[in-house]
Amino acid sequence: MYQELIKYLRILKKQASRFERTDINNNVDESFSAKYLVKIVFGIISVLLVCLLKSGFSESFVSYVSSVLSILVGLFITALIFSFDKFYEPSNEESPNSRIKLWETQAHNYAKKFAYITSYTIVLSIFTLVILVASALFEKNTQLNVYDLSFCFDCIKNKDFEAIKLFVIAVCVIVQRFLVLYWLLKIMYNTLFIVSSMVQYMTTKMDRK
Amino acid sequence: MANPKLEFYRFKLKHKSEDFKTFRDFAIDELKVGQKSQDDTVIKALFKHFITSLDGDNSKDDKLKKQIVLIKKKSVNKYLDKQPAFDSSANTIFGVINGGPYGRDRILSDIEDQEDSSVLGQNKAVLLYFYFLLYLPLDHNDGCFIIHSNGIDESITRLFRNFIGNIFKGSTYYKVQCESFCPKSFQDEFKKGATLKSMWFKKTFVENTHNTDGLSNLMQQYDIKIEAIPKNKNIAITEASKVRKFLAQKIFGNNKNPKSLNDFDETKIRTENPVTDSKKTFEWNTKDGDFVPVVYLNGRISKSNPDGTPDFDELAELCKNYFNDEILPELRPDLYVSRAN
Repeated sequence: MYQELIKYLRILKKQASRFERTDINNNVDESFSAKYLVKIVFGIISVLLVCLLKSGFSESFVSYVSSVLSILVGLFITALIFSFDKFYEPSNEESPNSRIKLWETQAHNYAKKFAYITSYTIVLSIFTLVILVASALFEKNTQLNVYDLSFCFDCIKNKDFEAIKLFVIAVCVIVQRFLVLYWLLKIMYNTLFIVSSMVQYMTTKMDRK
Repeated sequence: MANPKLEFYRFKLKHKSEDFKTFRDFAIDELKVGQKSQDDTVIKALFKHFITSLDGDNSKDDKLKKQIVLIKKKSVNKYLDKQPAFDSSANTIFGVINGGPYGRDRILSDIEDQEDSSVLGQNKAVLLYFYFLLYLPLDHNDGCFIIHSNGIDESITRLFRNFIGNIFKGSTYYKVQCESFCPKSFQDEFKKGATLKSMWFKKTFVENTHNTDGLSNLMQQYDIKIEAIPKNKNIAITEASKVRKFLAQKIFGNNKNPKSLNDFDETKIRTENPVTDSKKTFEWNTKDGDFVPVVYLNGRISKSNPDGTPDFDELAELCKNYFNDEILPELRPDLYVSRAN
Protein backbone atom coordinates (compact mmCIF):
# COMPACT_ATOMS: atom_id res chain seq x y z
CA MET A 1 0.00 0.00 0.00
CA TYR A 2 2.87 2.33 0.79
CA GLN A 3 4.29 1.96 -2.71
CA GLU A 4 0.86 2.44 -4.23
CA LEU A 5 0.31 5.56 -2.14
CA ILE A 6 3.63 7.04 -3.29
CA LYS A 7 2.78 6.16 -6.88
CA TYR A 8 -0.68 7.77 -6.69
CA LEU A 9 0.67 10.89 -5.02
CA ARG A 10 3.37 11.27 -7.64
CA ILE A 11 0.84 10.86 -10.46
CA LEU A 12 -1.45 13.37 -8.76
CA LYS A 13 1.35 15.92 -8.34
CA LYS A 14 2.52 15.49 -11.94
CA GLN A 15 -0.96 15.66 -13.47
CA ALA A 16 -2.08 18.58 -11.29
CA SER A 17 1.03 20.49 -12.31
CA ARG A 18 0.31 19.74 -16.00
CA PHE A 19 -3.40 20.55 -15.79
CA GLU A 20 -2.65 23.88 -14.13
CA ARG A 21 -1.09 24.86 -17.45
CA THR A 22 -3.64 23.10 -19.68
CA ASP A 23 -6.73 24.82 -21.00
CA ILE A 24 -10.03 23.07 -21.73
CA ASN A 25 -8.96 22.54 -25.36
CA ASN A 26 -6.02 20.48 -24.07
CA ASN A 27 -3.44 23.05 -25.11
CA VAL A 28 -0.55 22.92 -22.67
CA ASP A 29 1.24 26.21 -22.01
CA GLU A 30 4.92 25.30 -21.93
CA SER A 31 6.17 28.84 -21.39
CA PHE A 32 8.55 29.66 -18.56
CA SER A 33 6.05 31.99 -16.92
CA ALA A 34 3.30 29.35 -16.98
CA LYS A 35 5.63 26.78 -15.46
CA TYR A 36 7.46 28.80 -12.86
CA LEU A 37 6.02 32.30 -12.31
CA VAL A 38 3.49 31.36 -9.62
CA LYS A 39 6.05 29.12 -7.91
CA ILE A 40 8.67 31.88 -7.89
CA VAL A 41 6.25 34.56 -6.64
CA PHE A 42 4.85 32.29 -3.91
CA GLY A 43 8.40 31.21 -2.99
CA ILE A 44 9.55 34.83 -2.62
CA ILE A 45 6.46 35.77 -0.57
CA SER A 46 6.96 32.73 1.66
CA VAL A 47 10.66 33.51 2.24
CA LEU A 48 9.80 37.12 3.11
CA LEU A 49 7.10 35.99 5.55
CA VAL A 50 9.46 33.45 7.12
CA CYS A 51 11.95 36.29 7.66
CA LEU A 52 9.24 38.42 9.25
CA LEU A 53 7.99 35.62 11.50
CA LYS A 54 10.66 35.77 14.17
CA SER A 55 9.12 33.34 16.61
CA GLY A 56 7.00 31.19 14.28
CA PHE A 57 3.25 30.72 14.14
CA SER A 58 1.13 31.84 17.03
CA GLU A 59 -1.27 29.42 18.69
CA SER A 60 -4.28 31.33 17.31
CA PHE A 61 -2.86 31.18 13.79
CA VAL A 62 -2.42 27.40 14.02
CA SER A 63 -5.96 27.02 15.34
CA TYR A 64 -7.42 29.34 12.69
CA VAL A 65 -5.58 27.73 9.77
CA SER A 66 -6.46 24.22 10.96
CA SER A 67 -10.16 25.09 11.09
CA VAL A 68 -10.11 26.71 7.66
CA LEU A 69 -8.23 23.82 6.08
CA SER A 70 -10.55 21.24 7.68
CA ILE A 71 -13.54 23.04 6.20
CA LEU A 72 -11.84 23.29 2.80
CA VAL A 73 -10.96 19.59 2.77
CA GLY A 74 -14.62 18.71 3.46
CA LEU A 75 -15.80 21.17 0.84
CA PHE A 76 -13.39 19.95 -1.81
CA ILE A 77 -14.16 16.28 -1.24
CA THR A 78 -17.87 17.06 -1.69
CA ALA A 79 -17.08 19.08 -4.83
CA LEU A 80 -14.94 16.24 -6.17
CA ILE A 81 -17.71 13.68 -5.72
CA PHE A 82 -20.27 16.10 -7.13
CA SER A 83 -18.10 16.77 -10.19
CA PHE A 84 -17.74 13.07 -11.00
CA ASP A 85 -20.97 12.76 -12.95
CA LYS A 86 -22.07 16.37 -13.15
CA PHE A 87 -19.35 17.96 -15.23
CA TYR A 88 -18.87 15.28 -17.81
CA GLU A 89 -21.86 13.62 -19.41
CA PRO A 90 -21.05 11.61 -22.54
CA SER A 91 -23.34 12.36 -25.46
CA ASN A 92 -25.82 9.66 -26.41
CA GLU A 93 -26.37 11.02 -29.91
CA GLU A 94 -25.44 8.71 -32.77
CA SER A 95 -24.17 11.50 -35.02
CA PRO A 96 -23.32 14.41 -32.76
CA ASN A 97 -22.61 17.71 -34.48
CA SER A 98 -19.35 19.58 -34.03
CA ARG A 99 -20.74 21.73 -31.22
CA ILE A 100 -21.80 18.71 -29.18
CA LYS A 101 -18.46 17.00 -29.87
CA LEU A 102 -16.57 20.14 -28.83
CA TRP A 103 -18.64 20.65 -25.69
CA GLU A 104 -18.19 17.01 -24.75
CA THR A 105 -14.42 17.16 -25.24
CA GLN A 106 -14.16 20.42 -23.32
CA ALA A 107 -16.35 19.03 -20.52
CA HIS A 108 -14.13 15.94 -20.37
CA ASN A 109 -10.98 18.07 -20.19
CA TYR A 110 -12.43 20.44 -17.62
CA ALA A 111 -13.69 17.54 -15.47
CA LYS A 112 -10.17 16.08 -15.44
CA LYS A 113 -8.55 19.42 -14.72
CA PHE A 114 -11.04 20.09 -11.93
CA ALA A 115 -10.55 16.61 -10.45
CA TYR A 116 -6.74 16.74 -10.46
CA ILE A 117 -6.43 20.30 -9.14
CA THR A 118 -9.10 19.77 -6.46
CA SER A 119 -7.55 16.48 -5.34
CA TYR A 120 -4.10 18.03 -5.25
CA THR A 121 -5.46 20.91 -3.17
CA ILE A 122 -6.98 18.38 -0.74
CA VAL A 123 -3.61 16.61 -0.46
CA LEU A 124 -1.82 19.92 0.09
CA SER A 125 -4.35 20.85 2.78
CA ILE A 126 -3.80 17.50 4.52
CA PHE A 127 0.00 17.93 4.35
CA THR A 128 -0.35 21.47 5.73
CA LEU A 129 -2.50 20.17 8.58
CA VAL A 130 0.05 17.43 9.28
CA ILE A 131 3.03 19.75 9.50
CA LEU A 132 0.99 22.23 11.51
CA VAL A 133 0.56 19.47 14.09
CA ALA A 134 4.24 19.98 14.90
CA SER A 135 3.39 23.54 16.02
CA ALA A 136 0.85 22.14 18.45
CA LEU A 137 2.97 19.19 19.63
CA PHE A 138 6.30 20.98 19.92
CA GLU A 139 5.11 24.46 20.67
CA LYS A 140 8.34 25.58 22.31
CA ASN A 141 10.64 24.27 19.57
CA THR A 142 8.51 25.58 16.69
CA GLN A 143 8.35 29.05 18.21
CA LEU A 144 12.13 29.25 18.16
CA ASN A 145 13.47 32.66 17.19
CA VAL A 146 16.20 31.85 14.68
CA TYR A 147 17.50 35.42 14.82
CA ASP A 148 18.75 34.65 18.37
CA LEU A 149 20.99 31.87 17.01
CA SER A 150 24.37 32.11 15.41
CA PHE A 151 26.23 29.52 13.38
CA CYS A 152 29.07 27.81 15.29
CA PHE A 153 31.58 25.90 13.15
CA ASP A 154 33.61 24.86 16.18
CA CYS A 155 30.61 23.08 17.67
CA ILE A 156 30.44 20.77 14.62
CA LYS A 157 34.17 20.15 14.78
CA ASN A 158 33.88 19.39 18.50
CA LYS A 159 30.82 17.21 17.88
CA ASP A 160 28.67 19.25 20.24
CA PHE A 161 25.48 17.16 20.11
CA GLU A 162 23.23 19.84 21.66
CA ALA A 163 24.38 22.45 19.14
CA ILE A 164 23.87 20.07 16.21
CA LYS A 165 20.42 19.17 17.53
CA LEU A 166 19.57 22.87 17.81
CA PHE A 167 20.78 23.42 14.25
CA VAL A 168 18.62 20.56 12.94
CA ILE A 169 15.61 21.90 14.86
CA ALA A 170 16.23 25.41 13.46
CA VAL A 171 16.40 24.05 9.91
CA CYS A 172 13.23 21.96 10.43
CA VAL A 173 11.44 25.00 11.90
CA ILE A 174 12.41 27.19 8.92
CA VAL A 175 11.37 24.47 6.45
CA GLN A 176 8.08 23.96 8.29
CA ARG A 177 7.29 27.67 8.29
CA PHE A 178 8.20 27.98 4.61
CA LEU A 179 6.14 24.94 3.57
CA VAL A 180 3.08 26.00 5.60
CA LEU A 181 3.13 29.47 4.06
CA TYR A 182 3.94 28.25 0.55
CA TRP A 183 1.24 25.59 0.61
CA LEU A 184 -1.29 27.98 2.10
CA LEU A 185 -0.68 30.38 -0.77
CA LYS A 186 -1.00 27.51 -3.23
CA ILE A 187 -4.21 26.27 -1.59
CA MET A 188 -5.66 29.78 -1.70
CA TYR A 189 -4.68 30.14 -5.36
CA ASN A 190 -6.16 26.76 -6.31
CA THR A 191 -9.34 27.49 -4.32
CA LEU A 192 -9.85 30.73 -6.23
CA PHE A 193 -9.35 28.86 -9.50
CA ILE A 194 -11.70 26.02 -8.53
CA VAL A 195 -14.53 28.29 -7.46
CA SER A 196 -14.25 30.79 -10.31
CA SER A 197 -13.84 28.17 -13.06
CA MET A 198 -16.68 26.05 -11.65
CA VAL A 199 -19.07 29.02 -11.74
CA GLN A 200 -17.92 29.91 -15.26
CA TYR A 201 -18.38 26.33 -16.43
CA MET A 202 -21.84 26.02 -14.91
CA THR A 203 -23.15 29.31 -16.31
CA THR A 204 -21.75 28.49 -19.76
CA LYS A 205 -23.44 25.12 -19.65
CA MET A 206 -26.74 26.73 -18.63
CA ASP A 207 -26.45 29.25 -21.48
CA ARG A 208 -25.93 26.43 -24.00
CA LYS A 209 -29.28 24.97 -23.05
CA MET B 1 -1.07 34.14 -71.40
CA ALA B 2 -3.50 33.01 -68.78
CA ASN B 3 -2.70 33.83 -65.18
CA PRO B 4 -4.28 30.95 -63.28
CA LYS B 5 -5.21 31.58 -59.69
CA LEU B 6 -7.09 30.07 -56.77
CA GLU B 7 -9.89 31.77 -54.91
CA PHE B 8 -11.29 30.79 -51.54
CA TYR B 9 -14.81 31.23 -50.29
CA ARG B 10 -16.57 30.21 -47.11
CA PHE B 11 -20.28 29.98 -46.42
CA LYS B 12 -22.61 29.16 -43.58
CA LEU B 13 -25.87 27.22 -43.74
CA LYS B 14 -28.73 29.48 -42.71
CA HIS B 15 -31.73 27.66 -41.29
CA LYS B 16 -34.92 29.65 -41.05
CA SER B 17 -35.53 28.98 -37.36
CA GLU B 18 -32.44 27.37 -35.82
CA ASP B 19 -29.04 28.94 -35.58
CA PHE B 20 -26.96 25.80 -35.99
CA LYS B 21 -27.85 23.27 -38.64
CA THR B 22 -25.22 21.04 -40.14
CA PHE B 23 -24.88 19.77 -43.69
CA ARG B 24 -26.10 16.41 -42.38
CA ASP B 25 -29.24 18.20 -41.15
CA PHE B 26 -29.58 19.83 -44.57
CA ALA B 27 -29.41 16.41 -46.25
CA ILE B 28 -31.99 15.02 -43.81
CA ASP B 29 -34.35 18.02 -44.11
CA GLU B 30 -34.05 18.79 -47.80
CA LEU B 31 -32.68 15.71 -49.54
CA LYS B 32 -34.75 13.24 -47.51
CA VAL B 33 -31.83 11.22 -46.22
CA GLY B 34 -32.62 8.92 -43.27
CA GLN B 35 -31.99 10.28 -39.76
CA LYS B 36 -29.61 7.47 -38.89
CA SER B 37 -27.78 7.32 -42.21
CA GLN B 38 -24.06 6.69 -42.27
CA ASP B 39 -21.73 9.56 -43.21
CA ASP B 40 -21.01 7.87 -46.52
CA THR B 41 -24.70 7.85 -47.46
CA VAL B 42 -25.15 11.49 -46.45
CA ILE B 43 -22.15 12.81 -48.39
CA LYS B 44 -23.26 10.69 -51.36
CA ALA B 45 -26.67 12.42 -51.24
CA LEU B 46 -25.01 15.85 -51.09
CA PHE B 47 -22.78 14.87 -54.00
CA LYS B 48 -25.79 13.70 -56.00
CA HIS B 49 -27.55 16.98 -55.18
CA PHE B 50 -24.50 18.88 -56.44
CA ILE B 51 -24.27 16.90 -59.67
CA THR B 52 -28.00 17.08 -60.45
CA SER B 53 -27.94 20.83 -59.72
CA LEU B 54 -25.32 21.21 -62.46
CA ASP B 55 -28.08 20.29 -64.89
CA GLY B 56 -30.62 22.58 -63.22
CA ASP B 57 -31.53 26.25 -63.39
CA ASN B 58 -28.95 27.28 -60.80
CA SER B 59 -26.10 26.33 -63.10
CA LYS B 60 -26.97 29.14 -65.54
CA ASP B 61 -26.95 32.86 -64.90
CA ASP B 62 -28.65 35.03 -67.49
CA LYS B 63 -27.13 38.21 -66.06
CA LEU B 64 -23.59 36.91 -66.14
CA LYS B 65 -24.40 34.94 -69.30
CA LYS B 66 -22.39 32.03 -68.03
CA GLN B 67 -23.07 28.39 -67.38
CA ILE B 68 -21.45 25.62 -65.38
CA VAL B 69 -22.08 22.05 -66.32
CA LEU B 70 -20.51 18.64 -66.46
CA ILE B 71 -20.23 17.36 -70.02
CA LYS B 72 -20.44 13.61 -69.71
CA LYS B 73 -19.40 12.75 -73.27
CA LYS B 74 -15.97 11.24 -73.13
CA SER B 75 -15.24 12.22 -76.73
CA VAL B 76 -15.87 15.89 -75.89
CA ASN B 77 -14.80 16.26 -72.26
CA LYS B 78 -11.03 15.78 -72.25
CA TYR B 79 -10.86 15.58 -68.48
CA LEU B 80 -13.90 13.44 -67.81
CA ASP B 81 -11.70 11.08 -65.78
CA LYS B 82 -11.22 14.02 -63.35
CA GLN B 83 -14.96 14.65 -63.06
CA PRO B 84 -16.30 15.49 -59.58
CA ALA B 85 -16.01 12.79 -56.94
CA PHE B 86 -16.44 12.79 -53.17
CA ASP B 87 -14.37 11.79 -50.18
CA SER B 88 -16.67 10.85 -47.33
CA SER B 89 -13.89 10.79 -44.73
CA ALA B 90 -12.84 14.37 -45.56
CA ASN B 91 -16.39 15.57 -46.38
CA THR B 92 -15.21 17.00 -49.66
CA ILE B 93 -16.43 17.04 -53.25
CA PHE B 94 -13.77 17.86 -55.82
CA GLY B 95 -13.01 17.59 -59.50
CA VAL B 96 -13.04 19.30 -62.85
CA ILE B 97 -16.23 20.85 -64.14
CA ASN B 98 -16.95 22.78 -67.30
CA GLY B 99 -18.08 26.34 -67.48
CA GLY B 100 -18.06 29.38 -69.67
CA PRO B 101 -19.99 32.14 -71.40
CA TYR B 102 -23.02 31.97 -73.66
CA GLY B 103 -25.59 34.42 -74.96
CA ARG B 104 -23.55 36.12 -77.67
CA ASP B 105 -23.64 35.70 -81.41
CA ARG B 106 -20.28 34.30 -82.25
CA ILE B 107 -18.50 32.60 -85.10
CA LEU B 108 -16.68 29.35 -84.79
CA SER B 109 -13.75 29.51 -87.12
CA ASP B 110 -10.67 27.46 -87.91
CA ILE B 111 -7.62 29.66 -87.35
CA GLU B 112 -5.88 28.06 -90.35
CA ASP B 113 -8.86 27.96 -92.68
CA GLN B 114 -11.35 30.82 -92.52
CA GLU B 115 -13.65 29.02 -94.95
CA ASP B 116 -14.18 26.42 -92.29
CA SER B 117 -16.38 28.53 -90.07
CA SER B 118 -19.86 28.26 -88.66
CA VAL B 119 -22.28 30.17 -86.51
CA LEU B 120 -22.15 29.76 -82.76
CA GLY B 121 -25.60 30.87 -81.62
CA GLN B 122 -26.61 32.63 -78.44
CA ASN B 123 -27.73 29.33 -77.00
CA LYS B 124 -24.26 27.83 -77.33
CA ALA B 125 -21.83 28.05 -74.43
CA VAL B 126 -18.06 27.96 -74.81
CA LEU B 127 -16.90 25.75 -71.98
CA LEU B 128 -13.53 25.52 -70.33
CA TYR B 129 -12.22 23.29 -67.55
CA PHE B 130 -12.18 24.45 -63.95
CA TYR B 131 -11.05 22.62 -60.84
CA PHE B 132 -12.87 23.04 -57.55
CA LEU B 133 -12.81 21.58 -54.05
CA LEU B 134 -15.95 21.91 -51.98
CA TYR B 135 -16.02 21.18 -48.25
CA LEU B 136 -19.36 20.21 -46.72
CA PRO B 137 -18.77 19.14 -43.11
CA LEU B 138 -21.50 16.80 -41.97
CA ASP B 139 -21.14 17.84 -38.35
CA HIS B 140 -20.86 21.60 -38.93
CA ASN B 141 -22.60 24.50 -40.67
CA ASP B 142 -19.49 26.21 -42.03
CA GLY B 143 -18.45 25.06 -45.50
CA CYS B 144 -15.95 26.39 -47.97
CA PHE B 145 -14.73 25.98 -51.50
CA ILE B 146 -11.59 26.57 -53.50
CA ILE B 147 -12.03 27.37 -57.17
CA HIS B 148 -9.50 27.83 -59.88
CA SER B 149 -9.72 30.36 -62.69
CA ASN B 150 -7.42 31.42 -65.50
CA GLY B 151 -7.86 35.17 -65.15
CA ILE B 152 -10.71 37.66 -65.21
CA ASP B 153 -12.08 36.53 -68.60
CA GLU B 154 -11.72 32.82 -68.00
CA SER B 155 -13.50 32.53 -64.71
CA ILE B 156 -16.65 30.91 -63.38
CA THR B 157 -16.03 32.06 -59.82
CA ARG B 158 -19.00 34.42 -59.53
CA LEU B 159 -21.34 31.89 -61.09
CA PHE B 160 -20.03 29.06 -58.93
CA ARG B 161 -20.46 31.27 -55.86
CA ASN B 162 -24.09 31.96 -56.78
CA PHE B 163 -24.58 28.29 -57.63
CA ILE B 164 -23.38 27.19 -54.19
CA GLY B 165 -25.52 29.91 -52.61
CA ASN B 166 -28.61 28.60 -54.36
CA ILE B 167 -28.16 24.83 -54.04
CA PHE B 168 -28.07 25.08 -50.26
CA LYS B 169 -31.31 27.00 -50.22
CA GLY B 170 -34.35 24.93 -49.35
CA SER B 171 -37.82 24.98 -47.90
CA THR B 172 -36.38 25.59 -44.43
CA TYR B 173 -33.04 27.11 -45.43
CA TYR B 174 -32.21 30.57 -46.74
CA LYS B 175 -29.80 31.11 -49.60
CA VAL B 176 -26.24 31.00 -48.26
CA GLN B 177 -23.85 33.89 -48.67
CA CYS B 178 -20.39 32.98 -49.87
CA GLU B 179 -17.71 35.25 -48.50
CA SER B 180 -14.29 35.58 -50.00
CA PHE B 181 -11.54 34.63 -47.58
CA CYS B 182 -7.95 33.64 -47.52
CA PRO B 183 -6.14 31.58 -44.91
CA LYS B 184 -4.13 33.71 -42.50
CA SER B 185 -0.92 31.90 -43.40
CA PHE B 186 -1.24 33.18 -46.99
CA GLN B 187 -1.92 36.69 -45.77
CA ASP B 188 1.16 36.54 -43.56
CA GLU B 189 3.24 35.13 -46.39
CA PHE B 190 2.21 38.01 -48.63
CA LYS B 191 2.60 40.68 -46.00
CA LYS B 192 6.10 39.63 -44.98
CA GLY B 193 8.51 42.36 -46.04
CA ALA B 194 6.06 43.78 -48.57
CA THR B 195 5.61 47.48 -49.25
CA LEU B 196 2.57 49.28 -50.55
CA LYS B 197 2.89 50.10 -54.25
CA SER B 198 -0.57 51.50 -54.84
CA MET B 199 -4.09 51.50 -53.54
CA TRP B 200 -6.93 51.24 -55.95
CA PHE B 201 -10.64 52.04 -55.49
CA LYS B 202 -13.40 51.15 -57.93
CA LYS B 203 -17.08 52.01 -58.08
CA THR B 204 -19.71 51.62 -60.76
CA PHE B 205 -21.77 54.78 -61.15
CA VAL B 206 -25.21 54.87 -62.71
CA GLU B 207 -26.48 58.28 -63.79
CA ASN B 208 -29.98 58.84 -62.48
CA THR B 209 -30.60 62.37 -63.73
CA HIS B 210 -31.64 63.66 -67.15
CA ASN B 211 -29.73 66.70 -68.31
CA THR B 212 -29.10 68.60 -71.46
CA ASP B 213 -25.35 68.32 -71.77
CA GLY B 214 -25.71 64.91 -73.30
CA LEU B 215 -23.17 63.30 -71.06
CA SER B 216 -25.69 61.16 -69.22
CA ASN B 217 -27.09 59.94 -72.47
CA LEU B 218 -23.60 59.24 -73.63
CA MET B 219 -22.62 57.28 -70.55
CA GLN B 220 -25.42 56.09 -68.33
CA GLN B 221 -23.23 53.64 -66.45
CA TYR B 222 -19.49 53.76 -65.91
CA ASP B 223 -16.74 52.54 -63.65
CA ILE B 224 -14.57 55.02 -61.80
CA LYS B 225 -11.17 53.74 -60.78
CA ILE B 226 -8.98 55.84 -58.53
CA GLU B 227 -5.43 54.78 -57.86
CA ALA B 228 -3.29 56.32 -55.14
CA ILE B 229 0.46 55.79 -55.56
CA PRO B 230 2.78 56.74 -52.71
CA LYS B 231 5.70 58.78 -53.99
CA ASN B 232 9.26 58.76 -52.68
CA LYS B 233 8.39 56.66 -49.68
CA ASN B 234 8.22 52.98 -48.86
CA ILE B 235 5.14 52.21 -46.83
CA ALA B 236 5.05 48.83 -45.09
CA ILE B 237 2.05 46.71 -45.92
CA THR B 238 1.21 46.59 -42.23
CA GLU B 239 0.44 50.32 -42.50
CA ALA B 240 -2.07 49.70 -45.30
CA SER B 241 -5.10 50.02 -43.04
CA LYS B 242 -3.95 53.48 -41.92
CA VAL B 243 -3.44 54.51 -45.55
CA ARG B 244 -6.88 53.24 -46.47
CA LYS B 245 -8.42 55.10 -43.55
CA PHE B 246 -6.71 58.29 -44.69
CA LEU B 247 -7.78 57.89 -48.33
CA ALA B 248 -11.29 56.71 -47.46
CA GLN B 249 -12.21 60.24 -46.36
CA LYS B 250 -11.44 61.70 -49.81
CA ILE B 251 -14.46 62.55 -51.88
CA PHE B 252 -15.31 61.95 -55.51
CA GLY B 253 -18.39 63.08 -57.40
CA ASN B 254 -20.33 66.31 -57.65
CA ASN B 255 -21.51 68.67 -54.94
CA LYS B 256 -25.00 67.21 -54.88
CA ASN B 257 -23.96 63.61 -54.70
CA PRO B 258 -20.47 63.25 -53.23
CA LYS B 259 -19.10 59.76 -52.70
CA SER B 260 -16.27 59.10 -50.33
CA LEU B 261 -13.74 56.49 -51.38
CA ASN B 262 -14.94 54.49 -48.39
CA ASP B 263 -18.23 53.94 -50.25
CA PHE B 264 -16.49 52.52 -53.30
CA ASP B 265 -17.30 48.88 -54.02
CA GLU B 266 -13.82 47.49 -54.39
CA THR B 267 -10.47 48.24 -52.87
CA LYS B 268 -7.35 46.57 -54.11
CA ILE B 269 -3.80 47.12 -53.10
CA ARG B 270 -0.72 46.32 -55.12
CA THR B 271 2.34 45.38 -53.17
CA GLU B 272 5.95 44.89 -53.97
CA ASN B 273 8.33 42.74 -52.05
CA PRO B 274 11.95 43.75 -52.59
CA VAL B 275 13.12 40.69 -50.66
CA THR B 276 11.39 38.11 -52.83
CA ASP B 277 11.17 40.44 -55.83
CA SER B 278 7.50 39.68 -56.25
CA LYS B 279 4.50 41.85 -56.96
CA LYS B 280 1.18 40.84 -55.50
CA THR B 281 -2.38 42.07 -55.61
CA PHE B 282 -4.69 41.98 -52.63
CA GLU B 283 -8.37 42.61 -52.54
CA TRP B 284 -9.54 44.44 -49.47
CA ASN B 285 -12.29 42.77 -47.54
CA THR B 286 -13.99 45.87 -46.17
CA LYS B 287 -16.27 43.82 -43.95
CA ASP B 288 -13.44 42.37 -41.90
CA GLY B 289 -10.97 45.12 -42.73
CA ASP B 290 -8.65 42.45 -43.94
CA PHE B 291 -6.67 41.52 -47.02
CA VAL B 292 -7.81 38.84 -49.39
CA PRO B 293 -4.72 38.03 -51.38
CA VAL B 294 -5.09 36.46 -54.77
CA VAL B 295 -3.23 33.17 -54.86
CA TYR B 296 -1.65 32.95 -58.29
CA LEU B 297 -0.60 29.50 -59.36
CA ASN B 298 2.52 30.53 -61.24
CA GLY B 299 5.41 29.21 -59.22
CA ARG B 300 3.16 26.91 -57.21
CA ILE B 301 2.40 24.47 -60.03
CA SER B 302 5.23 23.08 -62.11
CA LYS B 303 3.29 21.17 -64.78
CA SER B 304 0.67 22.56 -67.11
CA ASN B 305 -1.72 21.19 -69.69
CA PRO B 306 -0.99 21.68 -73.42
CA ASP B 307 -3.38 24.67 -73.50
CA GLY B 308 -1.47 26.47 -70.72
CA THR B 309 -3.95 25.70 -67.94
CA PRO B 310 -2.51 24.11 -64.79
CA ASP B 311 -2.13 20.35 -64.66
CA PHE B 312 -5.28 19.15 -62.91
CA ASP B 313 -3.62 16.31 -61.00
CA GLU B 314 -1.04 18.66 -59.54
CA LEU B 315 -3.70 21.29 -58.91
CA ALA B 316 -5.84 18.70 -57.09
CA GLU B 317 -2.89 17.78 -54.88
CA LEU B 318 -2.12 21.45 -54.21
CA CYS B 319 -5.75 22.22 -53.31
CA LYS B 320 -5.90 19.17 -51.07
CA ASN B 321 -2.74 20.26 -49.26
CA TYR B 322 -3.97 23.85 -48.90
CA PHE B 323 -7.27 22.56 -47.63
CA ASN B 324 -5.75 20.23 -45.03
CA ASP B 325 -2.82 22.37 -43.93
CA GLU B 326 -4.06 25.94 -44.23
CA ILE B 327 -7.84 26.12 -44.45
CA LEU B 328 -9.10 23.40 -42.15
CA PRO B 329 -7.17 24.56 -39.05
CA GLU B 330 -8.62 28.04 -39.56
CA LEU B 331 -12.12 27.04 -40.54
CA ARG B 332 -12.53 24.24 -38.01
CA PRO B 333 -10.44 24.92 -34.90
CA ASP B 334 -12.78 22.56 -33.04
CA LEU B 335 -11.25 19.61 -34.93
CA TYR B 336 -7.95 20.32 -33.26
CA VAL B 337 -9.34 20.14 -29.73
CA SER B 338 -8.25 16.84 -28.24
CA ARG B 339 -9.12 14.91 -25.15
CA ALA B 340 -6.69 15.22 -22.27
CA ASN B 341 -5.06 11.98 -21.18
